[in-house]
Amino acid sequence: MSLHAQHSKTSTSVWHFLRSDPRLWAGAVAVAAVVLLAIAGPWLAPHDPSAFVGRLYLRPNATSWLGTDVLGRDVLSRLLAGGRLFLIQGLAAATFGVLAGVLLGILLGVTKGRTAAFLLFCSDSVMVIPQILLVLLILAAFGSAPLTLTIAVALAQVAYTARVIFAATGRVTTEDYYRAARAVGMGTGSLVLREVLPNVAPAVLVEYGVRLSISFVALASLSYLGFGSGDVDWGAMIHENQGGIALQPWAVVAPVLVLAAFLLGMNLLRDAVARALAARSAR
Amino acid sequence: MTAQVAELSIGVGSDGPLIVDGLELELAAGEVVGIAGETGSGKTTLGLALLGHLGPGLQLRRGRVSAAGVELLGPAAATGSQLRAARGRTIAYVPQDPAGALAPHLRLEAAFAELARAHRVELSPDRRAELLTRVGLPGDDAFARRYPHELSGGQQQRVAIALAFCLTPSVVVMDEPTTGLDVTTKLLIADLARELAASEGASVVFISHDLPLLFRVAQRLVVMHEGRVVETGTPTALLEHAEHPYTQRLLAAWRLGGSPAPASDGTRQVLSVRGLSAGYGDVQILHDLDLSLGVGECLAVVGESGSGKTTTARAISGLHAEHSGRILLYGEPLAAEVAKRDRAQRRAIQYVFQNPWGSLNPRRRVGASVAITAQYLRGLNRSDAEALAVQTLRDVGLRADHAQAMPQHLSGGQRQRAALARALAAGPEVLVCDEVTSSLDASVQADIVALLKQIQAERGLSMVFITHDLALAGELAHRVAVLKDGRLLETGPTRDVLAHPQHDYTAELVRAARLAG
Repeated sequence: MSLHAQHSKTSTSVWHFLRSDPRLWAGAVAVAAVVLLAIAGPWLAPHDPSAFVGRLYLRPNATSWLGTDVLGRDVLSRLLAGGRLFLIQGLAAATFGVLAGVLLGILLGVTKGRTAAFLLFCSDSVMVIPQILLVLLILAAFGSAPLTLTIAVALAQVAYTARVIFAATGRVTTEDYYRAARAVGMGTGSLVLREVLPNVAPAVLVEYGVRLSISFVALASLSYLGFGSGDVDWGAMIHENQGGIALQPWAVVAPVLVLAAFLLGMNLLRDAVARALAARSAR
Repeated sequence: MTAQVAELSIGVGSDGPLIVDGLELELAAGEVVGIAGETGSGKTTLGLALLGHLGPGLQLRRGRVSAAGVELLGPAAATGSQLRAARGRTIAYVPQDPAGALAPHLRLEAAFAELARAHRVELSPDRRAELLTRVGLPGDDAFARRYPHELSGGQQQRVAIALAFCLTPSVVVMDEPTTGLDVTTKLLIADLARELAASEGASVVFISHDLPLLFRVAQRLVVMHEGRVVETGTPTALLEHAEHPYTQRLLAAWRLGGSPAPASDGTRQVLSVRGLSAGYGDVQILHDLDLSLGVGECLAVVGESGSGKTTTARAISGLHAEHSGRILLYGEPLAAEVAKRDRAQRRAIQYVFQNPWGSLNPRRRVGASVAITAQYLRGLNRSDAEALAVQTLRDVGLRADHAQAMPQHLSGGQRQRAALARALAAGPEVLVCDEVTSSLDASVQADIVALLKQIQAERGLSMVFITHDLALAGELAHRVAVLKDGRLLETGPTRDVLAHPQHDYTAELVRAARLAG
């Protein structure tokens, strides 16, 4: 009961700061629009996304509102069909990556000692490899099925999240309330759940926002490079049609606009939440 | 007269509450005026107003401030370059944090040169050397070529003072210039302010919440409370007949009370520390320390920052395992690490932390924080523990509904009471209080000390009271142990140590503590 009351209390005060932030509303509108497009798109598509509806690189016309692509398929239909898997993959990759990173970061932060220092060193070493390269290495070894791709992107996030949460945990474990909890004899599990987790929650939330954006960017980049896993895919659309950009710009511009709106919206949302959390803790 | 404040009223915005309310003040040359008052009394706002500066969101409602013929605040106030010319030259400022006052990338000589250049005056190296010597620092060029980070906090503050007096200003405002400095350094800074005011013919406005220090430094005291001057007079006059209840309370908070008589015959020891040495990595903090605590006794461990007081307290509580030597509870040796002590041992020794802002989990209700001790250490179920928490919060002078509050909604004094309640909820036998009053305002400190006294008497607790303030130790403790550089310098009944200190260092601490008397 008291836990519930506590949650509603903190969320109202964060909400108090969020409500008046235009970034929140702009971001929410952009993200919601793209998510709706991706979810409802496959049912709304006027054509089969892989059917040939006319000559290649047709300008927008009555049957193909955004024209046709390099193989004469309908750009609008491909745009509407290309988001679902992309969004699911990004969401899943960020969620699993952050969960694993938070777990690792907190455990290393709480246990300290030589083993923890060694594991942190290993985790830091992974960060030396550029993320895209790391994912490409995994894909080269295990193939690029949708699940493999998701796991690869998730793994690429773990070290970064672990580093951030390790630092946040370190700030908690040097506080007196953490010492007080140790002094009453709390075990490691209780220390993590009752002292550390509630106090690193804001950092986790912001980190999750960052990792979502980065996962989506990584997935779109991989598709563009030709390592995407879907048949229809926004990143892949850009890749396929860039040769005809002078003849039929819409085949490239449309997916670029959708991706840009989505990522910009994500960043605005995350920024608004981060600022609201900072404003609350500054009070 | 060097400066005048007339009918000054400053408030938040154009219709918010008043921070400074109808204030009158005249400063004479060569005089040190002490401004006393607690957090929120408007001292700092007054200090900044003397510089012609209003804090963010503040507005001048009425009145004026002028210094040496220049109006700094008011209807015809100087602006722009006039105001800039007055600041630093006519009226100078010594801020609370000396590290923030000195630009970290400028050598000291460059800091002096920059000040002179800003005011288009020539500053000879001789004048700089003279000023540095006057504030008790080496006047040679090698010292002037140091960077701020190569100085101690006290030295930095002296440089800030030398800079303030550099262009022979009429008024120098010192805003809490001794916060964060050691007792002995504090005294040096206070004496320096007084000497420089006399020799340079400047008025010094010395803002502080530290009443004993103000008694030493100021010729005239102005006591502020909620934006008003409630009392003004010479220190001696105030000590003899303070009229305003707030001043009386403030004074009562600082007077040396009669030290408690020894509590026990010393035959039964609840806690003893034998040959305790401790450190962090390669740095050894404590050297072979012996302490003992009788049943129902309060032992004050006194020393400056860095003397190893907190490390001692943490080692006793099992929060600093990196130590050698033995800690005995009723003759039974305790494990170094708190997790390896059994429940009865953990219950018996309870720690109250210095900083009430960090000692309560900010994401948990106060009542729950108190209840956790009872749950873990007394094996109570949740509802019993919560009932006990409410009862204990009442015992320490909080209300039952404070149990439902988040820590950030309590004041510092209330939080410290809650932290005390958390310790008491365990039903301890030894209470380890680590500088529990040092981050609180003077009158709140007095309340907490009175509460500790009462609780100790009621519950027959033994107490280790860690403090840098011998006056406070005299208030509470039956015995005193003086620590310096991690070694025990002397120990004995409080009365004896205060009356006949064996060491020069102790004598100095006693002198510092006796300032009020």
